[in-house]
Amino acid sequence: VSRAAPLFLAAVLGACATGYRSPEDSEPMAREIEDRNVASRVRMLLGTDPETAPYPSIRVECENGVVTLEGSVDREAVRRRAVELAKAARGVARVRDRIVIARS
Amino acid sequence: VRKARRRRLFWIAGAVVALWLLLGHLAIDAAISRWCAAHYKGDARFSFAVVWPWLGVDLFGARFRSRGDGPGYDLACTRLSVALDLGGALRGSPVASMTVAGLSGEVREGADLDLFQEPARERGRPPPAPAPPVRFSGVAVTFRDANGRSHCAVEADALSVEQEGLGHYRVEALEGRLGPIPFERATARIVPRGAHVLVGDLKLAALDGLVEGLLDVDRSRAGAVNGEISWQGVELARAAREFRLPRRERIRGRIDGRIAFKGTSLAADALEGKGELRLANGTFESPISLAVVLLLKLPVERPSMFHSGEMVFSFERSLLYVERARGYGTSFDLAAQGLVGFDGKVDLEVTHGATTVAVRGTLEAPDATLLPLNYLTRPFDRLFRDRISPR
Repeated sequence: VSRAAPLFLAAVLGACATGYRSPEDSEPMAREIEDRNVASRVRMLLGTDPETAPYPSIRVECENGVVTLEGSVDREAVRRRAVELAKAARGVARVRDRIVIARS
Repeated sequence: VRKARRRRLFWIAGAVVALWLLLGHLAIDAAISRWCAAHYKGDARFSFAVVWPWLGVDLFGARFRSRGDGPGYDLACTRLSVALDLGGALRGSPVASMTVAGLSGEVREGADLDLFQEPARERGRPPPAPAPPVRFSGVAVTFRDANGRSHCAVEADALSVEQEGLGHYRVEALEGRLGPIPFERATARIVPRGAHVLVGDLKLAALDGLVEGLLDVDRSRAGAVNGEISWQGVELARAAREFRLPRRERIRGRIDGRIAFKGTSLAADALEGKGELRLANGTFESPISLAVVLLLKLPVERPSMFHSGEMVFSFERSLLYVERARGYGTSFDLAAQGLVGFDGKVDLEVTHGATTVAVRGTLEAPDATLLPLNYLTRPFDRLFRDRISPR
C-alpha cells in the first residue's frame, strides 16, 4: 500500500492538470473539420467549373491540408484543370494527383 | 320527347366531363413528368386528379422520384392545387414532403409554385435546355431527421431555383427566416457532386451584416454534414433581440466571426466545431460580467462596461467550451474560460488580474463566488469539472 500511494497521488495530480478542456484539446477536431471543409471547397470548384463539372467521378479527400484527387477522366486537359482548381482552393497545402486517363 | 332530350343532354354532359377529366389528367401528368425530366431526370405518378370546370385542378397523392445524377430525392405531394390559366401556365400550391440526403422537408400550404412557364401549346415538345427557373412566392420548409425531430426551419419569399446548365442550381430568395434569424437577398449554388450535395457561394444579408457560408451533405453517410459560416458587421443589438439575450438593452456594436462544423445531422446536439467572435467599437455587458464586477467592486463607467472583446470557442454535444474570452473596458479587462450549455447553464472562471471568480448558474441568473485560494482549489475544481458541468 505504501508503494502504491505515490503512484495514486501522481495519477490524481495528473488528472487535475489535464481535467480542463484546453484549446489544444479541440485541435484534432478542428483539424478534421478544416480538412473536410477544404475538400468541400475543392468539390465546389470542381462542380462549378465548365471543364470539370461533367466529371463527378473525381473524388476529393483531404488530410492535414493535403488534397488527394482520385478517379478517371478521358482527357489530360481535365486532369490538369482539376489539379489547378484544387491548388487554388483556400487551405490547400499540397495536391496529390491520382487521376488516371481512361481513353474509351 | 323531353325525356329523350334530357337523357341525350345527360350523356353528352357526362361524356364532356369524362373527356375533360381524362384530358386534364393526361395533360398534367405529361407536363409534370416533363418538368421532372427537365429538372431532375425523375418521374411522376398520381393516384388520381380532379379537374374543376373553372380550370382549377386538385391533385391528390402525387409522387415524384428522382433518378440519374441529380440530387436524390423523394417528393410526395399529399395535395397539389394547380390553377391552369388561359395562357397555358400552371401555378400550384403544394402541400408536400420531400426527402433528400437523409433529411426530410415539408412545404406548407400557401406556397405559390409556378410549375410551367411554357405556353400550353408547346407541351409535348422536347424541353428547352437549360430548364426554366422554378419560382416560389412563399415557401416554408422544416427539415426533420428520420425520428421526426425538427432541425432547421427555413421560410423564404420570392424564391427562385434555376438550373445553370452544368448540373448545378442557383437559388435566390428576396427575404425569409432561417430559424429565428431573418435574412434578405440570399443567393446560393446547389451543386450535386457524386455522393455529395454542396450548398456553396452562400451569401445573405442578416442582422445588418453579411453572412457567407458553405455546407456539404454527404449522401453516402446518411445525414453527415460539414461546413463553415462567417459573418461580418452583424449588429449585436439586433442579434440580442432576435435571440432574446438577457440585458439586451446594454448590448451594441458590430461583431465579426466564423464557425466551422461537422456532424451527423444539422441538429444542434449532433454538431461539433470551433469558432471565434470579435466585437469592436461597441458596448457590451452581461449578467455574468455584472455579477463579477459587483463581487469585485470594480469601477464601471456606464454605459460601456466593455467596448470590445474577443472569444475563441468550440462546441459539441450541446455544450459551448469557451477556450479564451476577453472583454476590454475603459477601466478594466476581464478574461473568461469554461462551459456554457445550449440550455443557458454556465460554469465559468472569470479572471481579473490575479483574482479568479467562479461563475455558475444560468446566463440570466449567474452566481459568482470568489476563489481566494485559486491556485489550491483550481486543480480539484478541474478534477470534478465534468461532474458539475451543465449537461
